[in-house]
Amino acid sequence: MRKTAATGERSDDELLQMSTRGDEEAFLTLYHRHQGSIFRFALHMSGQRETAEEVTQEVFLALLSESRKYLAERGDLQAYLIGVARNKVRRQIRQTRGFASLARTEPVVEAASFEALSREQEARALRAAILSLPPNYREVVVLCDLENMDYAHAAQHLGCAIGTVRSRLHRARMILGSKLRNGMRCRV
Amino acid sequence: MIGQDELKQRLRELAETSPQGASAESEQRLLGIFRARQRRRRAWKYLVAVAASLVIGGASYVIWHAQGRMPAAAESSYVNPSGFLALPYAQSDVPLEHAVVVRVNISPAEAGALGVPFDPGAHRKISADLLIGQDGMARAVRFVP
Repeated sequence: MRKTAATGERSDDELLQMSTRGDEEAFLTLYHRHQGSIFRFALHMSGQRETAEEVTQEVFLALLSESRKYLAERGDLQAYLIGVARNKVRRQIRQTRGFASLARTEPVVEAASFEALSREQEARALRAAILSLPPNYREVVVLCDLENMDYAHAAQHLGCAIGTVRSRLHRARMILGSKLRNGMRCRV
Repeated sequence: MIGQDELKQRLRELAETSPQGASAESEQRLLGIFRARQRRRRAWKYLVAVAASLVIGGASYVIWHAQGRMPAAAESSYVNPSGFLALPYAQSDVPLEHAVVVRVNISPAEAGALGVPFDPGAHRKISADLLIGQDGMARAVRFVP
């Protein structure tokens, strides 16, 4: 238990070094610290839980086998991991040439009430609208609106200027608003 | 178009209701791969250590063997105080327990065959003492003036 507490307090760089030397506990600590954000990013980018699980696993395996590629002076580990996840998700998108339909990825709605059913439908529509965005726009929506990241961090994660993040986010929100309005009209 | 505030509210709700992390099965799979890698790494290290030990051992043996033979080569040209010259092919590692000295007259060509250079064109016989070991082999030669 004492060792667990010690690894929990260590920095990402220390944990990474320990992991590459074969320390399982350090690797698990690193995984628990970052897997959530990697998984959610991949999930919202791909719209598929299986893809998100696969990408998360590949990101951590790549971290172990190519740990020298991570340079602490260039940014924090999470930014590096998001960058790796981003490349892997984009590769998946290219391979599958688009995304799986929501009908295949979404479970059957089992709502307890009409209100819950309505909320679920709205969530589906929003997810579909996010997935239909171009990847550049989708990334900023996922990081800034879903992951609640500030512009500076998002810019660091995406390797672009803050102004670029701001303008992409503004444009993405406009597109989303428009798509949701059209979606609601269709349902009516 | 829906308002920006409403859109942000819906996005927040979507973030809260979405799965927050990879499944426990996924973690176990990753851990399994990590452990398998460590096992392969340890096996590889062990193989490298064994290979390195074999190389070092082999090199040590070769060096030791070469060093062990070097004095014999040096002895072959050693002239002891009695005037005997060790023959190059003599087995210096066989102890000389019972030796006899035999005086012979040999031709320059025969002296050359013993490994002692003489003018092969000369016809005069050379008088020499041969030191014969208990194995019947000539170990050394001494030329008599």
